[in-house]
Amino acid sequence: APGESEHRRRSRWDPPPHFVIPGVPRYLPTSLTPEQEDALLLRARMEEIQYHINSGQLGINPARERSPSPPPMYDKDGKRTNTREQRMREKLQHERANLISEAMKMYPEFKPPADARAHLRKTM
Amino acid sequence: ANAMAPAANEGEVPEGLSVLVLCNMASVDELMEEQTYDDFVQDLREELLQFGDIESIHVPRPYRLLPHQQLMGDGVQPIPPLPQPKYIGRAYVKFRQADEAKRAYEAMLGRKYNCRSIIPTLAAPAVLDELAKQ
Repeated sequence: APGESEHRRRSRWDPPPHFVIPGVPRYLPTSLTPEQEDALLLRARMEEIQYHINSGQLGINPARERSPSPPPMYDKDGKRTNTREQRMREKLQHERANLISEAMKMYPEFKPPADARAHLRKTM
Repeated sequence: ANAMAPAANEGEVPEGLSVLVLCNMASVDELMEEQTYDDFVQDLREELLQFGDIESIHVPRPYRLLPHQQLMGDGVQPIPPLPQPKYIGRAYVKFRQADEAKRAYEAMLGRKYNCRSIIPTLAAPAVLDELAKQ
């Protein structure tokens, strides 16, 4: 049936070669308190997002994109402003801002990275 | 001490733990979407079957949004996050044998799923009772 073949699931497991992102722990130690677990995972995801944003590897897999793209938008110079890359980057930055505000709630002494402060003001 | 960086315990994984716990696997958004969620569980089963007999897979899901909140979220304005149960983004896979879980754990070190680094650990089956209470 066409409906079925349209949704032929593609595995989202990573193809080799496998590599570890700097700052992301390889495993969760079994000796942690729940609070330490939360802190470690929060920090790991922040590092991971930062890595994706900096490296430009935004995890875009066209075969997996199901939702229709929004209509293209352009700036005054005719340059497109909402490509898939730009939207993915924004999504990651938004998630990072949420993680940072969560960290600030959990740890009063947590200092948000300088580059994140402008974004925080926008979203909070 | 930095509260954000708990010291990693370099010790060996304890024996006798038959639940593989995979952390950092999915976002709240992904877990809310039916198709993505079903695909995720199926991907887990297919990949982990090779390590042994899987008794069950548990993937805690976020609370749902009310219809008017979903409308608001349609690219217009961000939805304030709902308070979510703990363990969101984790998958719990119960193997029949602890040594199967351990082999799967070792195979998951350094792997990624959907561009997210898998952070695995092992737990005793009692963790599933805790989940059921959430």
